Amino acid sequence: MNGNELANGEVVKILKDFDKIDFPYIGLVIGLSWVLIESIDRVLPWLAGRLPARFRFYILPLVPVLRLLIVAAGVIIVVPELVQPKPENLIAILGAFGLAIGFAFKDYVSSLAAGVVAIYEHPYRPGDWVRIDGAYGEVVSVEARALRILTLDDTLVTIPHKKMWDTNVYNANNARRELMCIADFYLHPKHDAALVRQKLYEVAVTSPYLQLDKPITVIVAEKPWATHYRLKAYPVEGRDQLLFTTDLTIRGKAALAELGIEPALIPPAMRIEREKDR
Amino acid sequence: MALESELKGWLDAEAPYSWVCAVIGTPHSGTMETITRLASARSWRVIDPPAFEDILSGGREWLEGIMDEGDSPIVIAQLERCYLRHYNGLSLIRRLLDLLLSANRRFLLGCNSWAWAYLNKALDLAPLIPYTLTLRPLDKEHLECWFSSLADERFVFRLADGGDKLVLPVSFNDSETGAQPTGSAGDFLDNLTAYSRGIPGVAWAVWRHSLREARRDEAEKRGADPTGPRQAILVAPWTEMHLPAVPDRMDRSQLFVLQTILLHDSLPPRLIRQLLSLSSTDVLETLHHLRSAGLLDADRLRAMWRVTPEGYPVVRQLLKREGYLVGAI
Repeated sequence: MNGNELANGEVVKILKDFDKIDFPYIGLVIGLSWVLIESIDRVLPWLAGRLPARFRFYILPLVPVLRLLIVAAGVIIVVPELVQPKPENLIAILGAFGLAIGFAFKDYVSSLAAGVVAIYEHPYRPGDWVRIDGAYGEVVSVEARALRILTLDDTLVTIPHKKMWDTNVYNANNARRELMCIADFYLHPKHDAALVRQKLYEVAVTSPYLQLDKPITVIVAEKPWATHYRLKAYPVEGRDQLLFTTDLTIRGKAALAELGIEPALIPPAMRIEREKDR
Repeated sequence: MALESELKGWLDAEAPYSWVCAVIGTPHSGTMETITRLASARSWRVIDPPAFEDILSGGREWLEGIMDEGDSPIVIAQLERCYLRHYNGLSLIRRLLDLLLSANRRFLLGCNSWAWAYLNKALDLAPLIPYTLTLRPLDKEHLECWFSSLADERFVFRLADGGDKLVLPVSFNDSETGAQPTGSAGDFLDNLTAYSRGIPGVAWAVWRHSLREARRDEAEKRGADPTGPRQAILVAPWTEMHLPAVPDRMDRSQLFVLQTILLHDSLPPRLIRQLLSLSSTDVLETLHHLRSAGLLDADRLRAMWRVTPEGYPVVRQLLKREGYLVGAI
């Protein structure tokens, strides 16, 4: 049998004759598979709840695995009951299956390819702090299909490498230990800006978190409702970025209060365009 | 005195290259004592450091009291006591530097190497005070001579490893083993020199830590010693020394406390709390935890806490490994 013959609609020859198919047996296999899957979906979670908590993370992950094994076993048992066991039939079935798999896994293959490119181009590496698609955190692992980042809220986010094709990757430290942190201050416009700038510099240079080998910069911008100060500095350890900006903010506010400088009071109706500032 | 001879050119010059000379020393190096002794011998005026409260309030009165009518050098032996790592703690030292650089008068400063490293970064000090000196670290031979000179002639120092190996004195002719410390006895002083990095205070503290019991020197009695029997003081082998070690778990606040104390040479707990924005409980807990590890000690009244001489090399290595600023030398 060649391709033309298949194209002529003799696909029905792939299947066994209707009266030779053992439908009760197929029904029994399907039914049994369904019962097993339902049982696993109920029993294993129940068991995980009854046993000590440390076993939960061993038992629950078994559910999708066992489910997949039962479905695969069912397919392996049922298909020979439906298909005539000839080589060309099997090739046709596998070909159709492969085409379906290809379409389903095209994103997976794209991620694998992007992962290879990422190894060469280094848009991110373990230890980097990156922002991809709104998620910001430390890259904890770079695997074949995806990278995992741990956010500042201790959430693990898995991002497929294929995001690299069409999404910007913002890397804050690029394989270095330190990364720039920014503490923002919004002050009432009536004050001595030079004095404030000097004081904020001293707030940064006296922080125990500070990496003294990197520069400290104070940027000043006048807004309609406030004078905006951006205190930019680097901590010794990138993982301390939140603690560092907290330290700068708390001590900065204390220093400015001692100088009698008022923070800005923004009318409720006015929207703060923080993203534009960045 | 070596420092005095080094300063001779600076003292004799009519218009020196730099009116200000800074002598930088590691903690426990004796720099402050050396400078103070020189000033006393030459009748130079020594300025006491300001109170911590004065530093935070600007120290105007203290600054006004520095200059006098004379022309002999003015000594500020502890520059590390003239600032605090606080947003209000740098204005006094800025004004002090302005005064020193504009006075056309010789100033001899002593400064802790950690404070010097910090002030270099924070205030860009190096171009302002280009003339700096440091005390040379002691090598093994100098340590041997120094310890020997400090010890009473009635004592000899032998390794407490069951043998008779002589550690000190260098000049003693041991009829059993020869004139010089050899083998493991010589290794002891090598290890001591390396561990202490040649810092006298550290070496002295570790040496004293190594001394064990005294007994009649049996080895000497077998020789023909015209001076009569001596006492042997046993010295623990280096492998049996229990020197301070870093605790297994060091958190960020402990590192900050250690570095902050070193930046200021020593500090009271209330100021540590203020400089690090920690609670009193956290500060006291950290101080006592580090004290039990042998890394910190305090004076009798628990007023001023400092890094111990024996613990200093370990603390320096720890902070350097963690990426924090360490002493300039």
